[in-house]
This record gives sequence, structure tokens and C-alpha cells, in this order.
Amino acid sequence: MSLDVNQLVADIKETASAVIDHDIAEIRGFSERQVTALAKQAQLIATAMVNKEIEEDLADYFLDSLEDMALNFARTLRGLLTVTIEKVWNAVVSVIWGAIERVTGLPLKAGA
Amino acid sequence: MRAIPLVGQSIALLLFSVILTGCVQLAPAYDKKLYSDLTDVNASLLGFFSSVSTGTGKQSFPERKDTYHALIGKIEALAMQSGSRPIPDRDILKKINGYLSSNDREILFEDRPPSVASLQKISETLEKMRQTDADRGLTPGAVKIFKNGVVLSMDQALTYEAFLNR
Repeated sequence: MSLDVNQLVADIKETASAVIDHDIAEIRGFSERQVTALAKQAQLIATAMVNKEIEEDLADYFLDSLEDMALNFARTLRGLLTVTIEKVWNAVVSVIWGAIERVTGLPLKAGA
Repeated sequence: MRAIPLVGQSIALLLFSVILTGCVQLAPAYDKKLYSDLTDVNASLLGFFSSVSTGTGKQSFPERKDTYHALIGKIEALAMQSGSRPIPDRDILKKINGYLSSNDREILFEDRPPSVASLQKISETLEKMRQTDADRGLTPGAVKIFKNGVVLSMDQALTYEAFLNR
């Protein structure tokens, strides 16, 4: 029995796509919430400045904070992508090792 | 969305190592207790913001002082707890960063959970709010801005921590 490379490639693609599609949908939802909240923050700051509800030093603090929040949004996105890469990696390992196990009949330590 | 090609390229690189390496863990383990504590403190934060939504006067600050300290203390403890979890395959993250750097990619992967920075931002925001409240009181507009900032940062922390439950 030989390893069907075309089938293995198809299985890897299907497995990776399933993980990516699921995670990207979640990441997109998070991104939309964050972008909306960042825009709302800018609007709240601008309104409070116009209405003189906040003094200049507080306005400066809020504007600096807005930059930090945007940076943390990017950091969180990167963290989510790291988890997605890990999930794809591990799913692909299982597919490849499973294919090798079926051909060789030898048990591999796929969960290692 | 640039995230998808980035994931694809990183995965393509990693596939070469798959057979040799086996399963990996590139991010911390999910911590159910940490996530539960985050949702609890989030409820406390929203309750506090609701209680000051119409603004405050500095003369009544002593009534709120303990609440500020309790919330800031809880958030800082959670940030510490989040950052103390190990990442077993830290070396592989370094390899990915090496590949991204060599291809002039500006995004590199960090080995510290992003929820730590988000929680630290919440703590810093609450400290600024406490100082402002003590010095001059808070206008309703200022409360809205503080609240939205905390909600935005908490969404980052909660989303990441929930995402770890893979």
C-alpha cells in the first residue's frame, strides 16, 4: 500500500481551511467590535472637548490612550493569529501522521 | 484582509517542520478560572461605571476610594496571572519571527499574552480616573470616555482568553 499524495494534499487543504475559516470568522467579528469602539472613543473625546466637559490635560491623556488601545487591538489580533497557526499546525500534523500510520501500519506518536 | 496571507505564509513555513516536530503549543493554555475571574471583574466594573454615569463631585470621592482600589487591585492581579503562564514551544515562535523578519514583515509574534497589555491598560485607565475624581470630580462626558476605553480593553482581554479554549 502506497501513500496517495494527491489525497493527502486534499485532506491537508480541507483540514487547514476548516480551521482557518472558523477562526477568521471569529477574528472578523472581534475586529468589527474593536473598530466600532475605537471610532466611538474618538467621537466621545471630540464631543467632550467641544462641550468643554474635559480639560486640556485630560483630553491629551485620552488621545494618547486611544493610540495605546489601537496598539493593543493589533497585539490581540496577532495573539489570535498565533493560536490559529497553532491549531492549523496541529490539525495538519494529525492528517499527515494518520496517513503515514495507515500506509506503514506503525503507530506514530501523533499527539506528541 | 492581510491576516489571511500572513497565516498562510507562516503555515507554509511551518509545514516543513511538521514531520520532525509533531504537535506544538504556541500560546498559553486556556485558564478557566482566569476567564471566570475576568467576567466577574468585568461585571463589577460595569456596575461601578453605572453608579457614576451622571458624574461625580470631588467632595464625595472618599465614598468611592475603596472601590477604585479594589478594582485596580483585582485587574493587576489578573494581569500578573495572565502573564505568568508558560508557552511550551517558545522557540518555534522565535523561528517564525526569524522567517517574518527575513521577509521584511513588520508583524512579529510576541511570547507574552496580549491580554496582559490590555489588562494593564484598564488598570492605568482606572488609576487616571481615580486621580481625576479625587482632584476635580468627573463630568458625565469624562465617565463615558473612561468607560468606553475600559470596555474596549476588556473586550481584547476576554476575546483572547476565550480564544485560548481550543
